[in-house]
Amino acid sequence: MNPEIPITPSTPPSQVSQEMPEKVRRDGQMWQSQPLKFLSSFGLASALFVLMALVTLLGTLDQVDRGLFLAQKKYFESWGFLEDIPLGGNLSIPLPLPGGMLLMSLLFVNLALGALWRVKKRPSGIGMFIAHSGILFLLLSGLVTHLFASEGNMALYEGESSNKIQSFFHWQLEVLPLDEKNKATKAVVVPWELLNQSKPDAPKTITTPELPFKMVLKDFALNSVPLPVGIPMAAQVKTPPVDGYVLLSQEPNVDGERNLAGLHVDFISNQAGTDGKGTTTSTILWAGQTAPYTLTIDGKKYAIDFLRENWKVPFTIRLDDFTKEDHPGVSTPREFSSKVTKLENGEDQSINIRMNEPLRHRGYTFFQASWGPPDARPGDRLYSMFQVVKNPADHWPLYSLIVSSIGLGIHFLTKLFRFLNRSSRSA
Amino acid sequence: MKKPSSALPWLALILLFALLMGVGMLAAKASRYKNSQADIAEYTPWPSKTVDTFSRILIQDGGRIKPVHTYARYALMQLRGTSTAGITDNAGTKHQLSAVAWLLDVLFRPEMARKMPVFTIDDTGVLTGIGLEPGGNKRDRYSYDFIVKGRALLAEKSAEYGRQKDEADRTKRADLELTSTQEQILLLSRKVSQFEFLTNQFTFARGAIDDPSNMLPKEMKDLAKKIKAEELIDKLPAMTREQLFSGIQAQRTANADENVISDSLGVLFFQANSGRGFAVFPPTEPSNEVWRSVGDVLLDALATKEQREDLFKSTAQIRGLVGAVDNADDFLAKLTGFEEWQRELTGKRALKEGTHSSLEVSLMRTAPFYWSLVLFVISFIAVALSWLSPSSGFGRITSLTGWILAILALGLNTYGIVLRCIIRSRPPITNLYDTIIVITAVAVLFALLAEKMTKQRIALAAGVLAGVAGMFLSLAFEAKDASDTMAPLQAVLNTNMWLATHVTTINIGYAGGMIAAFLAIFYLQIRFLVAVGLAEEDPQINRVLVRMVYGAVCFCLFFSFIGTILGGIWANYSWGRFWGWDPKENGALIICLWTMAILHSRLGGYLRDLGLSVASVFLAVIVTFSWWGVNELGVGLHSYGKTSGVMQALYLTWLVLGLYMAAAIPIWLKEKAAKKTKTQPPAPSIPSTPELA
Repeated sequence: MNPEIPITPSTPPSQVSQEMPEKVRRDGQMWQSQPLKFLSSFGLASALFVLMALVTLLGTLDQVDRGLFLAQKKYFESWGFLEDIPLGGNLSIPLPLPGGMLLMSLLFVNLALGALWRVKKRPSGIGMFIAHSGILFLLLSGLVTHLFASEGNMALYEGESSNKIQSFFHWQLEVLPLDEKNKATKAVVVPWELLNQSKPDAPKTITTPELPFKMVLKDFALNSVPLPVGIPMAAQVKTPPVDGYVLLSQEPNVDGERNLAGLHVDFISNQAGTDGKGTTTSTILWAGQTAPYTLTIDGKKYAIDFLRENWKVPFTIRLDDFTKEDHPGVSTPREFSSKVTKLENGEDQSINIRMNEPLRHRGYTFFQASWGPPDARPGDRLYSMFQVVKNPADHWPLYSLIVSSIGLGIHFLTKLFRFLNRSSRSA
Repeated sequence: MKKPSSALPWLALILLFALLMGVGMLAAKASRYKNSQADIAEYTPWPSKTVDTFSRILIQDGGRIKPVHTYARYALMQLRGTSTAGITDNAGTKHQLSAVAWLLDVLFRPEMARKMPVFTIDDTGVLTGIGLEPGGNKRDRYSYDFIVKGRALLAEKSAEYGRQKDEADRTKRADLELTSTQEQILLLSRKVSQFEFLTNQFTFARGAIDDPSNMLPKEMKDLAKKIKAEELIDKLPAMTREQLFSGIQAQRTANADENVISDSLGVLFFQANSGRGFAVFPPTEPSNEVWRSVGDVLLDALATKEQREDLFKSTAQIRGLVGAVDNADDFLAKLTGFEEWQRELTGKRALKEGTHSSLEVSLMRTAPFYWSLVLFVISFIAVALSWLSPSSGFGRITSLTGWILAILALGLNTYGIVLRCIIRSRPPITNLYDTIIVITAVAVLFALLAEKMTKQRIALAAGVLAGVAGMFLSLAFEAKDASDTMAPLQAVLNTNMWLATHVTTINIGYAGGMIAAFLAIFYLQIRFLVAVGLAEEDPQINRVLVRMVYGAVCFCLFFSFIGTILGGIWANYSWGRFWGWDPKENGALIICLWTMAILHSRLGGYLRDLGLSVASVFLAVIVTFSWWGVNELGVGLHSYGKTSGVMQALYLTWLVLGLYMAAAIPIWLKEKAAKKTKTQPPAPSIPSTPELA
C-alpha cells in the first residue's frame, strides 16, 4: 500500500511516477514485512468497512425477529457468528462471518498502523492524521464503555427513595445465612459472571470459605419457566426434576428485559455423611419466584434469593413528584419530568430530571427513561423509572467528534480549495 | 466550453423520454377516477370571501392550534387522496372545490356533502364486500350516500377484520393476515366514520338528527326535534358525567314523564358526543391549553353552573351560522363575527395561540413546493433541450433558462422551508416530510455549486433532476400520509438544540449520498452510450463527473460521520448510551462505513472510475434504506411509523438503481477489450495506484 499517494483524484499521472522512488526509499525495512503491510493496508481497511456494513445490516434486520438484546450479542459483541444463507425452500447453509468485536479490533490495529504510524507525516496530511486519531479514540472509548460501563435502572414511586440500582438483563444469586430469629446478617453473592458460565454440559462448582457447603450450578437459562413433570413439554428436560418440577429453557424474549432466568443448584455439605459424601439438597431457582428459597444444611438455615443483579450508589434519590405532560387535546407526550431530592451526607438537593436533561453526579448519570403504571388514571400514584449509567468514557465520543471534525474539515476544505484553484486555472 | 460530448444529445433524448413517461403515468393515474357526479340539482359554490374567512378560523387538532385551512386539507386528503375535489352537479356544471369549501359543506350543508364522490376506492372488491354494486372502474370515487347503503355490513365486516388484525399482530400467524381488500374495507370504515363524525359536529343546532344509515330509534329522532340542548342544560342541576350516564340508563317506569327525562338526557348526550372534535372554542381559564368543541362546551356546562353563561355565548355562534346557511351574506357576516370573537378571546390569552396561523394559511395558499416542482420540471426540459445542440445559441439560451429556473425553484423550496421553521419555531427538520424538502434543497444546492465550478451542464441536470424527484416525492408523501406535516413533537425530540445539529447534519449527509448517486448515474449513462457505440468517448466529461462523484461522496461522509456521532452524543446525554444499535443509528453507520470503504478502496487502487460510480449508485441504495427502509422495520427508537406503499416504492427505486449498476457490465467489457487491442491503454482519468506488492 502506498499511504502517501495524494487523495485528490485528479493528480496527473506524471506526478505519481515521480513519487514512486521516494516512497520506496521511505518505506523502511520494517514495512517490508508482509503481515505489517497487510495489517496497515487500504485493502484491509476497505474489506473491514464492507464487512462491518454487512454485519451491521444483518444485525439490524435480525432485530425485527429476535430483538435488540440477542442481535447485539450475536452480531455486534461477538468475535464471529454463523449466518444462515437461505437457498430456497427450507434449505440454508451456515456462512461463518466475523463479529463486531473482531472487526473493530482489526480496524483499531489497521487504523493505528496505517493511518497514524506508517503514513508519511507531511503538512497536507495533517487533516487526515487528526481525523484518524479522533476515530481511533472513538473506538477506544467504545472498548472502555464495553468493558467498564455499568448500567441499570431505578424505579421509584412518588415519595419513595433508594440508592439501589438494578440491572436490566443480569441476575445474581444471594445466599443469606439466617440466625435463630430467621434474620439475615450478611449475604454471599454469586455474581452474574459465574452464573452465566454454568452451561448445560458443564456445571459450575462454587466453593467459598464463608459457607460450609459447595454449590453446583447447572443448566443456567437466560429465559426459562418451571414446569410440573406431568405435562408433555416437561419431557424434553433432561435434568432430574426437583419436587416434581423441571426447569424448561426458553428462547430469550425479543424484549430482553422480560426474560426470567433460572437454574438448577445442588447444595453439597462439606461435612461427610455416612457414605463419605456430603448431603446434597437440590433446588430450582427461578427469577419469577416471589419469596426466597430456604434450606437447612447441617442444622443451619439459609435463605437463597435469585434476583436481578443490583448495586448501590453512594447517595440516595427520593422521587418527590413525577409529571407527564401531553400536547393539548391529544395523548402525545410533550414532556416527562421527575422532581427528585438527592440526599447525601445529610444534605438535600432538589433536582429536576427531564427528558434530555439528566442528573449527573459523582460519575453516575440518571436519565428519565420511562414511567408507570401504564394503565394509571389521572390522580393515581405514579412511578418514574430512571436509567442509571456509570461510564468512565462518558464524554469521550464528544472529544473524539471534535477532533475528527476538525481533521475532516481541514482535509476536505484543503481539497476543495485545491480543486477550485485548479478549476479556475484551467478555465 | 470545449467541444461538447456527443453523448449529450442522446442523454437529452433519454431524459425527455423519461420525463414524458413519468408525466404520462401520472396523468393516467389521475384520470383513473372518472366519477365526479354529485347528485345535486345545482350546486351553489361558497363565495370566495366566505371560504377565505373560514380558512383562517383557528382550531386545535392533533396537539396544536392550526388554521382550518390546514385541518380541511388533510381531512379531504384522507378521504380523497387530494387537496381539492372536482364535482359535477346535475345541471352538468363542473365545480372545483377547495378543501375548505368542501369542509364548509360537510359542516354546514351535510346533505350536499354526502352526495359528493370523495371516497376514493381502489378496489371494487371493497364495495362488493359490503353488498354494493360498484358502478364504474376497478378504481373510482363514490359518495357517502352510495356507500351508506352498505353501512351496516361495513360496520360488521370492519369489526371482524379489526379483531382478526389484532389477533394476527399478536400471534404473528400468517394465515390470519388480512387480504388487501380486507385491509381496504377496514380503511373505508375509518374514512366513513370520520366523515360521519364531521357531518354530525353541529347536529345540536339543527334540531333534527341526520341519520342516513337509519340506525337510530325513531322516538329519539322525534324527541331531538323538540329539544334545545342549552335550554335543557340550563334547567338541569349540575351533573357529572357519571350522573348523566346513570340518568340515561335509568330503568323505564310507567311514569311517562320520568322516561322523558332519561330520553332527553340521552338525546343531549348524543348531541354533545356528536359534537366532539372540532375544537374551535378557546378555554375560559387562561392557563388551560385544551380548546373545546361544541360537545365539550355542552358537557362542561352540564357539569358546572359557572360554565353556563359561556355555553350560551359559544353555542349562539354556531346556531347563528347553521341558521344562516341559506343566506350567503348573512352567513359571511356571522362567520366574520365568529372569527372576530375567536380572535378577541385568543388575544386575551397569555399563550397567544395562532400567532403564525395567517403565515400558515399563506404557506398553504402559495404552495411553494408545488411551484418549485413545476419550475424544476421546466428547468429540466430546458437543460435537456440545451444538450440537443450544446454549442449553438439555442443551447446557450436554454441552458441559461435552465439555470435561472433551477435557482428560482430552489429559492421557492427554501422559502417554504424557512416559513415552516418560523411557523413552528423549530429547526428545519422535525419529521419525515421535512427530510424530503430539506434533503432536496441541499442536494440541489450542492449540484448547482458543482455546476458553477465545472460548467459541464451535467451537475446542473443532476441537480434539477434531484429537484424534480424530491419535490414530487414531497407532494406524493404528503398525499399518501394525509396528516399534518407540522404536528407537535414527541417528548424526546422536544429539543431544538439536537434537532438543529444531529438531525440536520445527518440529513445533509443523506443529500450528499443521493447527489453522488445522481452524478454517478449520469456518468454510467454516458459511458454506456459510448460502450454501445452511440457516442464517442469524451475523457474530459468523464473526468469531471468522476471528480464530482468523488466530491459528493466525501461530502456525504463528512456530514454523515458528524451527524452519526452527534446522534450518539445526543443519545448519551438524553438516555445514557452513546450507541444502542438502533436500526436508524445502524443505517447512518452503514452510510459512513460504505463511504469510507469507497474512499479507502479508491486510495488503495481497488476502485477506478467505473467502480467508484457503481459504488456510488449503491450508496443511494444504502441511503434510501437508512432514510426510508428502517422506518418500515417497525423496531427501535426511530420508528416514525410505517407508511403504506413505502416498501413498494423502495423496491422499485432499488430495481432502477440496480439496472444502472448493471449498465457497468458492458462498459467494463468494452474497457477490457480496448485494453487488449491497444498496446497503450487509455490513461485513466484518475491515477489509481495498485497496492504495493
